Amino acid sequence: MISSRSLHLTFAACLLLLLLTTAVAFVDLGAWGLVVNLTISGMKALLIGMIFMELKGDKGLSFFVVVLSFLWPLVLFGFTFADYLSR
Amino acid sequence: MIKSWLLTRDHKKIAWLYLGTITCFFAIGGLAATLMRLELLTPTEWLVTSDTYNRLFTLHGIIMVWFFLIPSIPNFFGNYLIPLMIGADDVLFPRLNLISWYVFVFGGAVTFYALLRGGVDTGWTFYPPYSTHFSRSFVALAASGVLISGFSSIFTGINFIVTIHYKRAEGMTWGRLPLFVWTHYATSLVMLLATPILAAVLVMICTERIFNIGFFDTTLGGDPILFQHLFWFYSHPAVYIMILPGMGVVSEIVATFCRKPIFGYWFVVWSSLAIALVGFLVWGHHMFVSGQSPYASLIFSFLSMAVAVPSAIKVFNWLATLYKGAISFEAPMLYGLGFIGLFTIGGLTGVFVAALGFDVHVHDTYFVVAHFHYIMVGGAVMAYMGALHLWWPKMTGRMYPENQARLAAVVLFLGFNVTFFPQFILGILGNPRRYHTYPPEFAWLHQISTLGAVLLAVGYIYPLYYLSRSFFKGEKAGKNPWQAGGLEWTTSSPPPEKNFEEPVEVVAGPYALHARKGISP
Amino acid sequence: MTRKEARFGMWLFLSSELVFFSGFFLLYAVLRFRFMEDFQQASKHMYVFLGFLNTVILLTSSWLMALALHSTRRKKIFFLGGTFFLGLLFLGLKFYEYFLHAKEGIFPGFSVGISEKLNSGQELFMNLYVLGTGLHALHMIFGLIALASLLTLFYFHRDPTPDALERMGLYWHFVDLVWLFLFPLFYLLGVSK
Repeated sequence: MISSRSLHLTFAACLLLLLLTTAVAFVDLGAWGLVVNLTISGMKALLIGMIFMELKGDKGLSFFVVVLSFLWPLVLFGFTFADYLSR
Repeated sequence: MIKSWLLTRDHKKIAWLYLGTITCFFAIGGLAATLMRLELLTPTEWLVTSDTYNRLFTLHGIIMVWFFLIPSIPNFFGNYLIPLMIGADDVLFPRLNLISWYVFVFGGAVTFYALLRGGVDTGWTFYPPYSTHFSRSFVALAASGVLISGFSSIFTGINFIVTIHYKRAEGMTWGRLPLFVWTHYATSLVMLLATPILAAVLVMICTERIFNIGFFDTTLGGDPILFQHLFWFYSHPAVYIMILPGMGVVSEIVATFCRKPIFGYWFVVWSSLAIALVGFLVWGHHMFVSGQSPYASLIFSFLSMAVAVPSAIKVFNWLATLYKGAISFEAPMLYGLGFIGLFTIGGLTGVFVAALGFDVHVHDTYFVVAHFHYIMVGGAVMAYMGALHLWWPKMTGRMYPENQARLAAVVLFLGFNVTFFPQFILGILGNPRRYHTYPPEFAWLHQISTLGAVLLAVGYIYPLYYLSRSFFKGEKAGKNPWQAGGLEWTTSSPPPEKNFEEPVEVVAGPYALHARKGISP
Repeated sequence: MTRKEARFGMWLFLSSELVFFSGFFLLYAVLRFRFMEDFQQASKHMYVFLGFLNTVILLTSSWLMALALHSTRRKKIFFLGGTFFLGLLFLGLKFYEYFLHAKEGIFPGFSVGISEKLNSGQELFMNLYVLGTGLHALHMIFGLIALASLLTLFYFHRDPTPDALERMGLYWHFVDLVWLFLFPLFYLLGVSK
């Protein structure tokens, strides 16, 4: 079971990450800016997914579904960019 | 009485609701094809204008793909049989099941309305910039109808997956599932992961058309090939949604009428999953001549050849099952054998078009049309007809007239080949598709094709007649007229509301005949 | 139907939603790849403070939603109500933003002469922005309707099952997650340029 404490901590962590991502946005990192943004958003997603959505507690099945549904768009992105980058 | 049907949560009744709906759509799509084939009797325009012809082939494609082929086997046979085959009393989410039918009907109604208003002329593929900026037809309306019906697919996929995971009877392990169930599981994965992209891309088409945006418009900075990537990312897996269930049916038919377990059960299982998976990696083969990078095309070509392998494995397994089997040629078996032969031709020609050089020559010609009709009609529709005959006694409690059914199957097979084989030749000779006129030297091939279409029509109408008749006049069928394995054959015909009178306990797989508690010989 | 089964069903649905939004994100990715500079310039038109505020609002609503699942009945209603209220607030701010953009003359589809103010790439950015946040807002509206239904059930003492609340929670968190990606991709793009 997820304790209230974890919920509060997750919320606080997400807010902090939000501040971080906004602060970082003021620095010109060029192409890395996107990577940093997506990484931080990914971390927030992980926290919300594992704690708020209780993926931590679900058996492997739901976890597997989530992983699959993240991989699939990667296929879409990957092959489409393979086209655009090699034209 | 009407309420008991329209508010039902019984998967069997919902299946019948679907049957009624998809039969109507099949008739509409078939009517469009009839008009097309009639027009194509002469090299010049005689029956319809080019604009009308464009609307006809678009209608034919949209209706047949989204409103017949995709729902046909899963939503009628899948809905009816999966709970029975796994020993359950219903699907896990019965209300969602009913909602999925209403959503389907609503989507169909919107599309039908677009048709009544004059239809669409873009082809079922909705390619921009024509569909977004130039077509003076009801694109957004038709696209919305398709979008709505897509949700029906997604809900069905969800329902099947959870049902197969959680409602299997005691002793029904994954390794004892009939192959029909496995292929529907694979199909459901594809429905779930592919259909949402269709929804996304149709939304984009509609917004582009209505608000004059430029995602796919080169003059506004967009790229029409981006549409094609998104469209085909769904539409290629969609063809596997259309064929995988049919493959499941064929496995059941072959096992039943050879009185043998399917050869290489786990090979067939893994092949089904492999088809579903690899099917997502090949969509660019629809775009070889679109301006896509040749390097991407190379990768897609290679993967498209690879995806043929699991399909071939299945064909070999069916053949190995037939070998030394105690074969009998009832109607379902005729359809099943027809599937194996015609699907093989369709699949092989698929490998041809997967080759870059060859595809450049035959893209947008009748060769491609023939290729996919061999799979979709020679394959999927034959499987549908086979399933109809195999499980008719179970679902209605009546037998169909065997000799008439065999005749119909032969007529269908002949009619199909006479219609579509000439189209391979037309394609290689250079006859492009989606035109209502053609060079006069091709006339004889088109005329043979249209003649075949007449036979094909007979092959569809005849069963409609004798099956309907058998509802009232057919000989009563027992629990298991085919002496088949599978849990659905252990309950009465038709099954009681909760499917099984006694609780089900499974001790063996469905192809190990006579090894189950409670089966009556 | 057990809790495990109900959750699994909802996860499957959410995975289809994820794929849906990824189609949109692909559109964004390809067009941004083509129009990097224009996107950065166009992003300067975003109201970063409002976007930031909205992100905080949505995160808070997610927090309340999660708390609602682990509380007594009275607190459940309070937290769900809070989530609902914050959701409404989010939409209100969002539409206010749209209004501001329209006043500026750069809201796609409703601004005549948008092509004078923005070049193709920038206009595409605005189109994507409206499409993306619009689809997100649509999902928020569905979520709010569902929340309202749950609250109504509580009001009439025909309490929804814990499973129903869990599924609501999963959906709501998902919608929050989508926004967490939309925010940096649209609002933070041009901040440092």
